[in-house]
Amino acid sequence: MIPSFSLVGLFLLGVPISVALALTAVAYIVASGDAVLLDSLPQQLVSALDSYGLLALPLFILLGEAMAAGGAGRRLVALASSMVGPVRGGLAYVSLIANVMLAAILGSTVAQLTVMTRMVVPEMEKAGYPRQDAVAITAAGAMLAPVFPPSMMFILYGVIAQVPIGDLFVAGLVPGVLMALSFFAVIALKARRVPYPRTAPLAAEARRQALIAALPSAAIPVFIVLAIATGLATPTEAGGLAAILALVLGLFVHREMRWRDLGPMFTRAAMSSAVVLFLVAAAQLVGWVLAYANLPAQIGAMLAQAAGSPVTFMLLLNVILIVIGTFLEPIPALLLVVPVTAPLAAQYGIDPVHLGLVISINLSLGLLTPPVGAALFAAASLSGLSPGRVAQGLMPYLAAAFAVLIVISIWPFLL
Amino acid sequence: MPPPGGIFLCAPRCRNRLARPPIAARTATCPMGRRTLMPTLQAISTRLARAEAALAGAMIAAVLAITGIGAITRYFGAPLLWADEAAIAAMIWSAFLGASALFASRGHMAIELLSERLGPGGLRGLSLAADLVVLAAALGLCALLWRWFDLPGLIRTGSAEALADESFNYIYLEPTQTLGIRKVWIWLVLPVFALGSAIHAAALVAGDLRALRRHA
Amino acid sequence: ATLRIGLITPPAHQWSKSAEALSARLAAKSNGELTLNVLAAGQLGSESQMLQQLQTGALDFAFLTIGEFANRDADFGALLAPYLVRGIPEARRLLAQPTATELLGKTRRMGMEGLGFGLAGMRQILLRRPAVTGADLAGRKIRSLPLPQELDFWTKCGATPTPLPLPALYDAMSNGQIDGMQIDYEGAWNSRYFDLGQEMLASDHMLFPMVAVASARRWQSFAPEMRMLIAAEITAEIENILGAYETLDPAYRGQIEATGFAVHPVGPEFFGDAVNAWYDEWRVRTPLLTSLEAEAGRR
Ligand code: NA
Ligand code: NA
Repeated sequence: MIPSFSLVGLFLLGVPISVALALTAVAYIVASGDAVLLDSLPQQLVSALDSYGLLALPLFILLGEAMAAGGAGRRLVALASSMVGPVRGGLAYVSLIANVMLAAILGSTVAQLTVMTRMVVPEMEKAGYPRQDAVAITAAGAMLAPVFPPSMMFILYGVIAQVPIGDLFVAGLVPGVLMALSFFAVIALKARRVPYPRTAPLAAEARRQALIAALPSAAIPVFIVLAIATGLATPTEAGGLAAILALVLGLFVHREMRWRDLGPMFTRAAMSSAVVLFLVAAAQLVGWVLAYANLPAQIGAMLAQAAGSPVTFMLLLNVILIVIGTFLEPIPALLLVVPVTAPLAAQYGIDPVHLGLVISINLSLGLLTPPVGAALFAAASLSGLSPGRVAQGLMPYLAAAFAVLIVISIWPFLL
Repeated sequence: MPPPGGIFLCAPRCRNRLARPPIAARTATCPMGRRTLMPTLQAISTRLARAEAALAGAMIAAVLAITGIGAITRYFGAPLLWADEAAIAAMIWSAFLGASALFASRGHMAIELLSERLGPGGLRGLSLAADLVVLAAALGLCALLWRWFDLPGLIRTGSAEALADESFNYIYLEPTQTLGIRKVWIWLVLPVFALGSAIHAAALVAGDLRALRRHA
Repeated sequence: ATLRIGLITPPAHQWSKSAEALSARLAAKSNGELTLNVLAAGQLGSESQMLQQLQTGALDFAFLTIGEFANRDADFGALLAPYLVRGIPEARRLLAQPTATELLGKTRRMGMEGLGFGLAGMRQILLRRPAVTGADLAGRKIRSLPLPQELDFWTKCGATPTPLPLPALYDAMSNGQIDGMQIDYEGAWNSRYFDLGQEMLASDHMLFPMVAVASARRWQSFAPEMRMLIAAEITAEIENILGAYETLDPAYRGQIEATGFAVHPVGPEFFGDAVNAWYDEWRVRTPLLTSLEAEAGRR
């Protein structure tokens, strides 16, 4: 109890969220009397970042920076908008479609969001979209990254729950399509209400010019796909190699970057990464303390007692996951939740693939739900909006995503 | 000659260089290039933050280079065994250096529920309270690190092995997997981070106090 | 008292099941005085993080793989010698011999009390493209742990040992970033890695030990009767693990073969000179290997 109050109190004071989380972990340690944990605390803090999965964050932030600074982003968006007819909100749809395609390549919400925010948001703003809406659409699109294969979340769930990862990938298709469709519906509604600008139709000649200008830049997404498909690189490494390619294009082909721009660019990327990484480290402290206190087992016991049927089990599980997802990052949350819920779900006769779908999607949405979410903060930090404004713009998309989540919790649509 | 208690410093376009708008928006704007009198603590914090940010950027460049080289050498059948671990170590250094610098510019994400509802006086009080919490947290981490790194113990016992035998503290013995160095070189970023954060937080607290006094 | 045991393995893995069984036995034998919380799937962090928590006394017990031990003391890596034993029953006998016990004692210098060696399934080789002879392995990228003994074996086979983090393994195997991996039948079946390959070499080429340890700090603080009780129950549970793999290995292999997947047995001769060359080198680098060989009946 005391620790949760201290968390809320520190939040209200305006203490950085990362510090508030770390202090909450300390409060929990002190309250539980396990003072011996304090001796492991510094090492846990630094080891939280000792993870291959997290490398995607700085590398994709760099990719976003390099594409934005080197002019590749602008050219690709110009090409995309030249293809759109005079539809209201045309660029919003294009952004979402680009996100769906990117989701089929990338497996991490934060990776996708960082690259898209730096690339697409400034261009949408120039075209007359409110920045808040542009960020919301990009962030919503990034929710699809872990749902369409490949997916970091599905892989981790598969490893922990010992479920075939390939089955999870296939199962992610239906919820992914449902989520994408629901986002299209939200855009269609907002396009009329706000209203969003109509892209002016371009002459065939202007379109041809946009295509030619974008050709070298198009090499970047093509390179990512090829690098992964041919086994040159992991998706994480592909992000890094693509960033190097974007730098080369910016320096030598488009010549929109100079050598002396590199230093500040790396510093910007480092600071944007540090915001999120330090938060991940602090949140992991909370996860560690909760695991130590055996909270997952207690949650499991509570679930087992309260749930009468598989459907109520799934719905209750979703509620608990939303609460956990508000303040924990998906990966530590997955480590906490899966070992206790997987055996329970089996008792209710729930397919482990279905369970994995629900847990993975729910927790990855938590990346964007306030008050604490790495993707939410990355979007805020990279766009220059406050997290509150980003969250506000995201609300309709989050509502749509959670509606889809409830539907697939009840009807699994397993293929 | 700098006056006692303060030095002349070209006010940097400071914070804005380190981080993007939400951060700048929460910070008092510094007029570009104007010569201002800055108290020593503030000056140290600003310079330190700039150095930390630059080093964090260099570490990110290292992450990019190591990852790229690692992927390509592996593809051509001569993988660098240490690439993953080295990239992660560089990321850890970058993250903690950057996190320290972010305190100086109030660049860490915070929830601004109360601050949006308070008047300027209340806001100054709130800011002081929040900065004091950060300072306390940084000093607390310094204390934990003092215990963990146990320099007096290392000097007294004379070697990492003797320290471990005497006190079950293996900090100076922990090996990395592929880098061929001890992990303590990676962990060394923590004291840098804790001290840096404490300095930045102290500078913020001093600034809060000045603002309170000015408006008292 | 509330005690904690940490593991890196998922809940469905035999080690985790055994930890749960251990928890139940301790509760029963102590009339509910001892509660052992099982923290599986790396809930307390990686093995290196768990090791540090064992050293500070935050964590009481752990079932660890050999990796972190071999990384601290090359002698532990001698247990990873290729074809040191042929199959689980021989591995079981070897782990009960004096040299293994001597190794167990070395954990004390690392802040732990070694309580016994268990094991996982024997290592096999899963390949994306079949290999008819050992020479076909030349130049292929085989995912392995970043331990010198393991890396050296693959290098001597002419392959390129390629360490990859576990989360990257699935993608890497499906897109050809690696050409194969060393894995036991249990892992190949449970994560369906074999879906991504074309052939499994039933090589049984390496045993994969588990080390059951207590925090030395905590162990010293326990009353002697409590130590005796816990040591006895852990020994009994390790016996269960050792016994389990005698049936698990063939059972998982059977399940894989039942899908029609190609599983081909290969012996040490498949790898040409690699096995002998490996021993020539490592007998010098870790002399303890010679006693292990003698106990295993290799020489
Ligand atoms: Na994806
Ligand atoms: Na959240």
